[in-house]
Amino acid sequence: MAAAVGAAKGGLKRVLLLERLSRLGGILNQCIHLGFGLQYFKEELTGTEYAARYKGVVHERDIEVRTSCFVHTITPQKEITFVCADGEFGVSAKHIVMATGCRERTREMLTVPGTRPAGIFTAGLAQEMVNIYGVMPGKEVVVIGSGDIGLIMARRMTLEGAKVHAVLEILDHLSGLIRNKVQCLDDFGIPLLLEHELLEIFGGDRVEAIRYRNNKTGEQKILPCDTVLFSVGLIPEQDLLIDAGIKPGNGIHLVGNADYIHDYVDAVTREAEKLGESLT
Amino acid sequence: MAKKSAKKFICIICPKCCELETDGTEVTGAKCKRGKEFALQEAVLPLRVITTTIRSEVKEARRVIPVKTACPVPLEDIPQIMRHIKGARISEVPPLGSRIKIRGYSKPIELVVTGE
Repeated sequence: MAAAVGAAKGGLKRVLLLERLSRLGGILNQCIHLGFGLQYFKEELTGTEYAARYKGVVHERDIEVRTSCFVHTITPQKEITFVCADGEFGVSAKHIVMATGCRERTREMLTVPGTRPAGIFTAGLAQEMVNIYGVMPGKEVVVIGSGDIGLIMARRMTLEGAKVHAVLEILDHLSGLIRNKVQCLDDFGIPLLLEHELLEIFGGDRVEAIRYRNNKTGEQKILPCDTVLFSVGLIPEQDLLIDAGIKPGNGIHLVGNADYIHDYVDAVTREAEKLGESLT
Repeated sequence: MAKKSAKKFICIICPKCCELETDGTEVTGAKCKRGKEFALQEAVLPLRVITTTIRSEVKEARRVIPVKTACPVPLEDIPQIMRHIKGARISEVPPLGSRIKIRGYSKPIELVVTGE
């Protein structure tokens, strides 16, 4: 959205904004918690409020917005092919800005030993289930990794009535912001176990327990639970370029979390607007 | 100000996460006015805004609508307030920014709709 606004502001005549989902805003739509907008809007907003407010900025500009459009191919000649309910369309552009965000690192990428039962989720997927679909992923929860999404989800699951037994962090320090540890873990008495490593997941149909090790003492423990949430890092989503063997440059740009992982949406907005404005 | 009665907090107002210390009247460590106010309040009664969802009974709409409490509420009351919010149902989809009042423990709980 911000790159499109910047481009329109910078004087580009025809700006097309393609969105895969049915509404604009991306991951902000599932971020119902506060902490957004302090820099950009000078006001503390929830992610959903931030998205709604910025949509207003988009609608003020002459930008063609198309939602529920899935871009499946990009060529080095800057031709885009996308599918939507009306069929398949091609468009060629002078500039392509990839604001595709990021993906979550999953359990498979960590190669955690054990079985493959139901009840293992990335924190962001659990967030979507709870905040968008109103479905609880489980009741007895362990969070792996102390990234911000993991901390936010530890609180969210607690508010919704689940018991969050612990947040395990392999490093000797918190990955997320201290303020999120204070208001998400300390407020609700959820223990943060630093230098603790997940060793194994047990369970047949459903997660039954995990085995973890305190890396300071070497002591191992079994912790019964039915849900494991992974908050173990984000990876920029650049598959469209990688598939086509395209490097950014020559009119193809990466912005926001698709470029590198940002802590604040405000910074992403500013950066994307600036990039948009620089396009001629 | 290393008095015996001094309380230490990490400020949660903004991402600077200042380390605050207060004896109940003065605050050290705060880089802004809001941090000072936070420490003084935190020493007496910690307050938080709850952000959650409320269940909707509208068939065509989403099952849950994001909301926040209209004002900060006592931290210790959060479990109780959450029980009321979880028990509440809305029969029409409220516009973004509108307010919903639901039954609370002693007085009604006012919520602000934060999403569509």
